[in-house]
Amino acid sequence: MADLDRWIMRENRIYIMPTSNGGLYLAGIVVLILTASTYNNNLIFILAFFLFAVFFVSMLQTHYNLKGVRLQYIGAEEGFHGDRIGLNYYIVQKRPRTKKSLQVRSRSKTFVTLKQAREDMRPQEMMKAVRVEVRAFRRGVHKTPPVILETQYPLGLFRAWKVYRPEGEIIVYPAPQSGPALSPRAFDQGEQDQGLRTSPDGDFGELKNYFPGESYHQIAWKHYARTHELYTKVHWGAEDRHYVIPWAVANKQDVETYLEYMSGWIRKAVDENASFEMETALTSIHPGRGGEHARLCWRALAMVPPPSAGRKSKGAS
Amino acid sequence: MKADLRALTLPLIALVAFNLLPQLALRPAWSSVLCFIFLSYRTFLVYANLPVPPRWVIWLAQVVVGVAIWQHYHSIFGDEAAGTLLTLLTCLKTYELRNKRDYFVNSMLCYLVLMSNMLLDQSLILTIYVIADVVLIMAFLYALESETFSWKAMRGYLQPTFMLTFKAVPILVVCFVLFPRFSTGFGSGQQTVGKTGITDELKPGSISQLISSEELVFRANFLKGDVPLRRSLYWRGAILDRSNGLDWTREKTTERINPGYGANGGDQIEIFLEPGFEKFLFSLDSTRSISFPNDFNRSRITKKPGGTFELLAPIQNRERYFLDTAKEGEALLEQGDLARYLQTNEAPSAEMKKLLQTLKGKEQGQTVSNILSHFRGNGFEYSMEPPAAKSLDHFLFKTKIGFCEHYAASTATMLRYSNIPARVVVGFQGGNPSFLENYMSVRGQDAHAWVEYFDEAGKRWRRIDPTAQVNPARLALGSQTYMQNGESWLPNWIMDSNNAYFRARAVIDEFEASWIGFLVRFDLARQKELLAKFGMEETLFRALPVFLLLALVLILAVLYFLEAQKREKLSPEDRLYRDLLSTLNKWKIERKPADGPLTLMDKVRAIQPKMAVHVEPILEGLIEARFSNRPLNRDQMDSLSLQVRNLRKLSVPR
Repeated sequence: MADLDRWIMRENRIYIMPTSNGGLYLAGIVVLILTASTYNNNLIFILAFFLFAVFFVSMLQTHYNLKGVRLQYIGAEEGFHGDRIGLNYYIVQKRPRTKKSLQVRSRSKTFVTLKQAREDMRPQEMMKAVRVEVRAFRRGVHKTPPVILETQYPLGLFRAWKVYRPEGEIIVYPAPQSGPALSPRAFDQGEQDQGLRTSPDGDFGELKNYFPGESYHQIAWKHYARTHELYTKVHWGAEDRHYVIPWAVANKQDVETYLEYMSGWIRKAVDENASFEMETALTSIHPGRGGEHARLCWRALAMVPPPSAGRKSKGAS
Repeated sequence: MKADLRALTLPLIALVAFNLLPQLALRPAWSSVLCFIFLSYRTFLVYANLPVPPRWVIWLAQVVVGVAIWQHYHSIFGDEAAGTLLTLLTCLKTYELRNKRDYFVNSMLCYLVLMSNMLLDQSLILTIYVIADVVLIMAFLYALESETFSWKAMRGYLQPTFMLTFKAVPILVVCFVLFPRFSTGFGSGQQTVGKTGITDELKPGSISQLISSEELVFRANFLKGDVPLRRSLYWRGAILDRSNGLDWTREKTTERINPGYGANGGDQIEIFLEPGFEKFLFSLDSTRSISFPNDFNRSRITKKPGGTFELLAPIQNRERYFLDTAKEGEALLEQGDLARYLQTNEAPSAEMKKLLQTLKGKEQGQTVSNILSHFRGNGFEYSMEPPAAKSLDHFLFKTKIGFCEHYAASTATMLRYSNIPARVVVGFQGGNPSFLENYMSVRGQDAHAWVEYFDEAGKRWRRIDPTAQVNPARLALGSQTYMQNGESWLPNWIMDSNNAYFRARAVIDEFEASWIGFLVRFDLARQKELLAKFGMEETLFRALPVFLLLALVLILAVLYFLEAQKREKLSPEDRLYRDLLSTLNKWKIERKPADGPLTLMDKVRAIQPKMAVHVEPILEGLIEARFSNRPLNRDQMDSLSLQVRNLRKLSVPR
């Protein structure tokens, strides 16, 4: 079906059809012609033919408004299921032309367009950045949706459109839900594998091994200058807050709901500036802290295959 | 995701109001008042930022409107009833503007309202109005598509509308010429009632009421020869054959004479008859036959006893027909049954008998002459506002002041009392000749009544006009001039302004006649005639849709080509900047939308450092031209232009 769609709707080719308003307009013209014929009224014929001529010329103008305009995919933001996710594109034109009411929207069964882009282009503008906001129907790693560049300029009687199928993926994290409380795990004496060190400066309680994604502000730069080893400073009071987010889906538990709980625990850990580690059906993520680490975890959650895609989940097995 | 279209509500109300302007002249006053109320209240709601009434209120208003239409017209169908209903519903539709579609539908309704007005009027003024209205509706559609509106930006909506109109004209012309005129087979389904004009009865006052009307009845275009003298043109409408003193009517008869049809080689007169004047086809007494441009109209004509022509049904549209008349204006009236032209309902009074005795001549001709002469002198006066005459005797012996109908009716009755077959003819006399062309405009004010009697000696009907005995100037000058110089119903300020009003009207009439002529003449027959001139045979006529399609494709190709050739106006510095970007693009230096010239300069330095020396002066010059208050002079611009051109020729180091 997708191949058929691909075959019918070729990329960057202009398609044009009357809109429903155009159909209404055409019906009006038919009424005028029938009335003119019934009453043999040439003035009404003139009006009808004029409206038809406008219909005809507007078809040409709608088509031409899209000619020479292309869409370039820049990239997509990542976001939670239920949130607005921004898709960014450039509208590019080769020749200096005025293009009006160019609209961009996604066309997908996975996403719904919440805000389509609507832009005019002046002759001196070769490209213009546009942003389309979509909402995903479910979490996961989705293919970037096909996008429609369309216009109904000048009178809204015709719709001309081009289809683009940009290559890429959009990661939609499970929506964070507050689930069962997750208690922080206190550090024990033997947890040297966490990389905890005594602060050489004595300003901070501890140092621990740096993990990518952690805030640069927390890096012990003085220590790095001396040893060329990266450590993160652990403040007193925070060092004992560490969450282990387990992959423990109960037998009859809904995986999606559990993923949302996990997403919620990650957010909680980030809010508390606690370190956390996580395990999913596919992977386990080492301890870390901060926004980038959280994104890493959320991505891992997004990648967990839905239960219907094959039950590989460890917790479920 | 709904656009905020509230800014378009007021313009739409203004558009609907403009669209309803002809309504003031064409529709009943109460409907105009209702429209005004609906639109005014809607405007108030917009200004006061109040919500529209609930939907049931609008439905109720629609029902009330329907009932009012029914009360007035006893139908909701038919041109006028449906047209009035449409105008009122269009006003009510302004209360139902929830989304873009509603705005669109309302503007489409404006087109239909326009159409309904065109059914009632196709004058030049309405045509000019239609052009303005269509342009405004289209400009509104432009604004609707952009989903914004600002009164200050009206030019931005009107300019593309004019361009679109300009491009649409060739297609309009091709469609108008090539679109096959077909008949839908439907009648208009309306019983037209003569609004004003000639009827088949004559009572004192019936013509004098009509004579105050300036409404056009028909135009006569004399296709061969000059326009005859005004005094010789008696346009016969109906023959009245039943005398009742001053009142004359027409005997109900089913008798029909097969009308002569087609051209018989005589002088041709082309008549453009306006709708609303019953079913009479006005003709001269020299008419031999009558014909329509399209033969399928042949069965619609009937000839009545007395030699007048009528349509079987009242006319609803402007009609065009031809009179084939005898040369030299010779009367061609058939004798018919003379007995019916001797009937009188009442016996003459003793006073009448005495008068007739004195007027009786030795021969028939002498008697006729005496009767006519009786009106000259003897205290008879011509007036457009005569005192009420209770009877023939009252007029002849007491009031002695009358209009043409008084003199025609009394003369014909006196002739019948004298045993001379006579009848009253109602129609129009004269008309106003055109300055430029060979036609006469006949208006309500030219309405007239005269008498025909049967000349036994000559065995033919002769026309006599008793009004000429009382007031010769009325016929010699024509009603319009006569009224300008003498008694007039028009206000003095118009008459005193050196007749400017009449001159202006005559000029407008010239244009109007040409326009109406064009509109009415272009029918199936004229379409065939025109295409025959281009060598298209009758057999090819059926292929018209194919030709139409081919012509449209050809126009589409031409318009597309022209569109592709169109060059947008860029300022010189913008053009140079674009050229520069195009060259840099080839060097793999890509400009992101947010990149300004300085960022671009940095990119050049980073990616093509050796070329930076060439690019920097250009960018500096362009920055100067664009952002400084001192625009570059021509030499500086030429120098920059040369540098950009040279840049393209440089080979890029890899």
